[in-house]
Amino acid sequence: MGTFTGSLNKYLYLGGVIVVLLGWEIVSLTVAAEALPRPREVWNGLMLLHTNGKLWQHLPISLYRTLMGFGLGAALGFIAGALAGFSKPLYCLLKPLTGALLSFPAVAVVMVGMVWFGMGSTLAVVITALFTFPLVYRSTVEGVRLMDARLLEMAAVFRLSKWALWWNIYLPALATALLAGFAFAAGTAFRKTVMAELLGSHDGVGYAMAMTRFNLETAELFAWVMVCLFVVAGIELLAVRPAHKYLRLWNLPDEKRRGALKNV
Amino acid sequence: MYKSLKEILTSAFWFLAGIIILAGIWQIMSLSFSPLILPSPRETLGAMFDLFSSPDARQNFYVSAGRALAALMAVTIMGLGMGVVAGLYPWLEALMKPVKDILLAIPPVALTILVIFLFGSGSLQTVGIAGALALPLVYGSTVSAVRTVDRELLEMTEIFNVPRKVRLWDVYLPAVVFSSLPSVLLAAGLTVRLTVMAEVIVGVTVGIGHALSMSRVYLATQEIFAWMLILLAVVLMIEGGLLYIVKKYLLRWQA
Repeated sequence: MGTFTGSLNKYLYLGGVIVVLLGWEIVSLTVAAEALPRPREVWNGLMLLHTNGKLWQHLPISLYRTLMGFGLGAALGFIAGALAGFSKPLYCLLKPLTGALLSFPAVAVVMVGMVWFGMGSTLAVVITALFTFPLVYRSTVEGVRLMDARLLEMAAVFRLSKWALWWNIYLPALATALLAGFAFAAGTAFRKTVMAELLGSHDGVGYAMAMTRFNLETAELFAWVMVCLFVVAGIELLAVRPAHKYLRLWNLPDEKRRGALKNV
Repeated sequence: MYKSLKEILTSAFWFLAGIIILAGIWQIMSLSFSPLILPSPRETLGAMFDLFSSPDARQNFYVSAGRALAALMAVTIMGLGMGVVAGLYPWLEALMKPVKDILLAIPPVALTILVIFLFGSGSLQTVGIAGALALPLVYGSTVSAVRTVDRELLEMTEIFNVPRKVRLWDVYLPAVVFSSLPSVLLAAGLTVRLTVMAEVIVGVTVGIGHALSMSRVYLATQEIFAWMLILLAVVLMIEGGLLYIVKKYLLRWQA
């Protein structure tokens, strides 16, 4: 077992992508074009979605719903999580709710939502919020709990003012939890929006995918799947990676952390 | 760190209070809505017992359970196998990472429709969808389990020239299987949810997903609620109960 440098891993990753594309190309040559479109046809399908305007009709709607549902769920999750992190009784009180939300199959919730809200944006936003909430809640609770007890003790010894306590200890810890939870929940939020749209909406990426099924537009379906992957990859690159970079600044070893406290 | 009895009792008290408050809110809200919109807790429990005594519902349950179990078995075998190989050869892991990333990123419904396009709809397809989406979980934890196999033990096998085969079976496998067990149980909860999702979208003619679709069409909201409670109980039993037992007793030596 050798150790692998980052750049070599990058090339191997690229190699993996090429293997997938090659395998796809080879398989697609042996079966009918309607069954499995070739990679180039999928690219053409993507261009078609661009030129016939479907991409710009449905994608913004989905992104808007994702953002709204995510914002709502994350805000509630953060507030509830921050409170429950400090109060054990509240945490236990909320546990049945959050536990149930984490365990429900999303489709079943979507079906109830369809009965309650009918088809459309409200349904997608509520579903997205419902499944974002427990994720952000959980990571916020963990963030508050992880606040180094020794760090707090030391803060008490040094008689840090309330303001300094919040600014230097609570907020960084909460920001850490916030970033980690948000970044992970954002991708999930988009996937839940697409699911809600597929079952209960007349527009959006999920609806567009359901339509390709009825119209048997294979290349367009593959193109939509690509769009979904691009969106999640975009969230990963724009939110998750920078978040983790920032996290590394805070997840210092204990010694360094204590050293950092001296500057408080 | 051991909790005192008093702490456990207070936690349990607030937990029960949480359940009672939820049930209370549900009961109060159901008073102002028609049962078609929001059935009361009692109506839901009634519907649940109706489901228990209905042969159709029982068949739906068993078929879905069978699919989820099949998916879980496939995930366990493939996840452990591929994870061990990728854990031993980092270049293979890097090569397989794009596929893992795609499976993690793709909306489950998108993969489902993709599978319908490529392979048609049916029982095997739902198993495949649930399995494919749960695979990265077991695979990922197996890879990291292999990477963290006791270094000292490995060094010892090298010093004593232990054959590769023995090393694989007697050092790697036990360590990997035990530390992958929690992820297998998490995958079990996941396959249950994914199977139902796949059933709804694939449009199979038997299974919980099918029952849910039918209940929605006939506006039998209390049945949707009843199925949700049943699924919740199953997932909680796996993720709460079994996982807790495994972590507490089987993996004690890890701590």
